[in-house]
Amino acid sequence: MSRTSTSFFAMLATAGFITLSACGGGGGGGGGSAASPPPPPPPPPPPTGSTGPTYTPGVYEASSTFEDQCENPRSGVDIEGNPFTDEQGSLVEELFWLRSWTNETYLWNDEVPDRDPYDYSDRITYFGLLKTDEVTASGAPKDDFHFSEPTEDYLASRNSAPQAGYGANFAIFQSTPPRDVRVVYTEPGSPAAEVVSGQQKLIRGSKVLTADGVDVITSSNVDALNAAFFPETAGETHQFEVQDPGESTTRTISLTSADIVEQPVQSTNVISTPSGDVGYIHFTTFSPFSSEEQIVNAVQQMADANVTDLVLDLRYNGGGLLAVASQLSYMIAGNARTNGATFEQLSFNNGTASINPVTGERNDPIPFYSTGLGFSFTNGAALPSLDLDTVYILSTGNTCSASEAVINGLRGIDVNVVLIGNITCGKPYGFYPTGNCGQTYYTIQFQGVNNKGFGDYADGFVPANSSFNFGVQTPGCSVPDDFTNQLGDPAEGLLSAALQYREDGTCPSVTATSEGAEKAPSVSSETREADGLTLTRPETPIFENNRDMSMPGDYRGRSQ
Amino acid sequence: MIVRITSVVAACLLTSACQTASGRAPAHLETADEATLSRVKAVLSKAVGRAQIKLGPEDLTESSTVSVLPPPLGEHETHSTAMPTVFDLVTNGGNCYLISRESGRSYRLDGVDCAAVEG
Repeated sequence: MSRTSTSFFAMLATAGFITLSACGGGGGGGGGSAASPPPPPPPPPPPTGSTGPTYTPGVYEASSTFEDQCENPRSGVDIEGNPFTDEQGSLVEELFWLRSWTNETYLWNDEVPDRDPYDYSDRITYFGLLKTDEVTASGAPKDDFHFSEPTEDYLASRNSAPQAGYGANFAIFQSTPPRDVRVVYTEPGSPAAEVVSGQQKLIRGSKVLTADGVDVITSSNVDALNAAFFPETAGETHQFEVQDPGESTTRTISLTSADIVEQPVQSTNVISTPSGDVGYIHFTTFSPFSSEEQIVNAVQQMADANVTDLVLDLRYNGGGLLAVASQLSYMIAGNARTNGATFEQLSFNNGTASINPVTGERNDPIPFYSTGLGFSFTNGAALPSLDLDTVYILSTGNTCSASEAVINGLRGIDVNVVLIGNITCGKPYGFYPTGNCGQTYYTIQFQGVNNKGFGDYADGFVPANSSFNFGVQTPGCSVPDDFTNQLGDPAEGLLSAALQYREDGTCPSVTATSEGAEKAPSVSSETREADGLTLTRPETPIFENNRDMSMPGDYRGRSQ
Repeated sequence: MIVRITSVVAACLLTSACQTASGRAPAHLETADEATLSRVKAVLSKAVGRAQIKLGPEDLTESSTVSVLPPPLGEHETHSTAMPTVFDLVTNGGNCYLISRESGRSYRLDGVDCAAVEG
């Protein structure tokens, strides 16, 4: 896919929105989102003949009746080699499928008004209406995760090869001129992390001032910015002028793009303190299968170092595999605390019944896995454990989903989870992406509950001293993200606060001295005007390419 | 679900080897060359009902456990229940079989040499 000439601006303006959509934002999944229900379209012509399904309010035929009955059936195989099973059908049959499938599997199916498919002429519009309109205690939509995308895009995304880049993850503090783009972290071993003459090319907090001589802050030369920030191929070389945190001078670097493979464990550290060694693990994703092996190895390092406590940095971890979340939780808590306990039980619209209504399989509780599962660590191999009764978790609004499952799962077995940072995203929910007739639909189908049956954290977990009056109060400290120090540095704001809390149970006074805390992140719509250019949604590859453009701090409109 | 069950049944019919007999011994592959793995993957493909098969980290010349990776996660799958599908490699009566831990179904590996795990 080629990029549009406005994608850099779009990225700046909407990247936070997109990232949030993936994890917590409103209905912005992929190509075909459907968050805001438009006015009902005019009804289509009545069906011809007498073969169409009959709409009877409150009566739902099995979705299998309408499955693969497509207005535009596909033939052949998909990119994974699986044959299409489409048959010639009609739009209304696709809508009937959506209606019945929602009734069968949507978590809050009893809050969805029954709508006559014959009143609609577009499947995405119709799907967008098949959700609850309730809100949470914070006022946020109860269902913030309802979207769809073309199946072709879904499959392409999950099968995408590593893409060219520098291995730098950027944050946007100001998306419109004067823009403010800074480095969040760099992938280990990537071009951005290369050390030349004792200086790493990009470091956390580095502010990008120019790209190939073009002013990042003010310029409207979008093509040049796109070309510099998002190289099409490996081996491209571009020049950047950056200003490091705390420095008044700038430096110019040359970056040559490479194919970047995301590293789930970014860094580890063992910090000596008067009261014992403290382990630190920066873990950014549960998604790649390599996350299993990497987090096992990281915990093994901590075990080998005999750490007495662990600070787990999940501030940019948006989730992924629940099974790896379970393994990590086991490795923190150890066998005695987890033996026989449930890490997470899936609760569907029929509660925690024995059968999963989506897959038809048994709905067994997810245990605390104590062995490798075969993602990337040998199936059956014993996992190390730290046997801790307390864990310090660093969090922001990007701490989401499977990351929150770790928090909730550990709380369910009375491990003291100390939260340092900001309120988490609030996604105790999950879905099975389901394709029908070329569109893949995401509708919330289950809620995860812990060993105590608790899973009501739709407004997130929040440090106890936060001023938020919603969210699940959790011991710990509200601390702004700190872009002036490197991650893993004991002086870095969140880590420093965790060490302080561990030492004496107190929180630092928040003075908002870090640069990152001074400005609220901006989130824009896709139609925002800047420099005379209409912004458009950035194309998916920008976000597939290991460039976490998420806004620092909180999101979903919540601020303290 | 229907498709999946159908696939499993079809795999059994194709291999003509759905068996439940005892006398099995855990086994490993004699070799894990490309041709052998291709045969193993072909059987696994029918067993799990997917065209693409990617194996987990086990060295099948040493391990009797075979992990079949699920499809990679899409970018929006942040709370995923995906798990590898695990099979046990066994030998019985001179033949090699893969046995699904989930269903207990057995799939014969034709043209694949395996040996009982010692010890």
